[in-house]
Amino acid sequence: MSSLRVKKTTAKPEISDQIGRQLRSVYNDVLAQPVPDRFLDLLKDLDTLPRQSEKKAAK
Amino acid sequence: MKADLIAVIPNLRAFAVSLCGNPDRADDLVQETLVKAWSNLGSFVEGTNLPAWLFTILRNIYYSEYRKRRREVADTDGAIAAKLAAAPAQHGHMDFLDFREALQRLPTDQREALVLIGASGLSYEEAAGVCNCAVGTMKSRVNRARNRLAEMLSLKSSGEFGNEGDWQAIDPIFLGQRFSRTGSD
Repeated sequence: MSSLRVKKTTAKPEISDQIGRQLRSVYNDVLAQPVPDRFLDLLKDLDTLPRQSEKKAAK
Repeated sequence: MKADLIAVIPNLRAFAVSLCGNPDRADDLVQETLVKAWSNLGSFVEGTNLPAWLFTILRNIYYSEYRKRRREVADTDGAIAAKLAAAPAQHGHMDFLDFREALQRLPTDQREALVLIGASGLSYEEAAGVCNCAVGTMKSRVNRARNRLAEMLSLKSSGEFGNEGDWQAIDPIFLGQRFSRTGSD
């Protein structure tokens, strides 16, 4: 497997920092987006439904 | 609890995108995670890390789905890799390997380790709990992920700019170019 041919070196600190910055940038890009309505609606629906455990208990 | 879940949704989405590399599929994963979490709220231990608990659920859904798909469709990752390889170079002669592409080319275990530790804010212990592995395993996955990314990214740039010293010098341009364009992706 070619992925196992990774050189036996540890990424230099500057390179690690750079990777860290880019990684957070990619991640924060999604993090900064508002919560889509579909999830708010979903949780609202779930909240109005009786919990499964309550349903079982009621039977 | 509903408000707590809503507060974690952006994190779940970011983690899901990094896992599967596809925003639409990521949101489906988040949806399934919320439904599952809601019906299992009783098993969440109050006072422990809610994001970590939700990441664990999301990850389990992803892997069980992934295994299912592997049986149905041949090699999901291979298909994605082929698509990436076929995509035309979008940034002229500065043909860097995009960081997102490089991230998606990492083995999944390394990618999730790097994202959990480097971006989501979990500790090594929490991330190891999410991935159901030892802390030492988590550390070595993060290291391998960093080395592999450094290799992928520098290989691309070293052809264009010569030695590694030059690569450091062009770093700000690289960042500016890539992340001013993220909205169009």
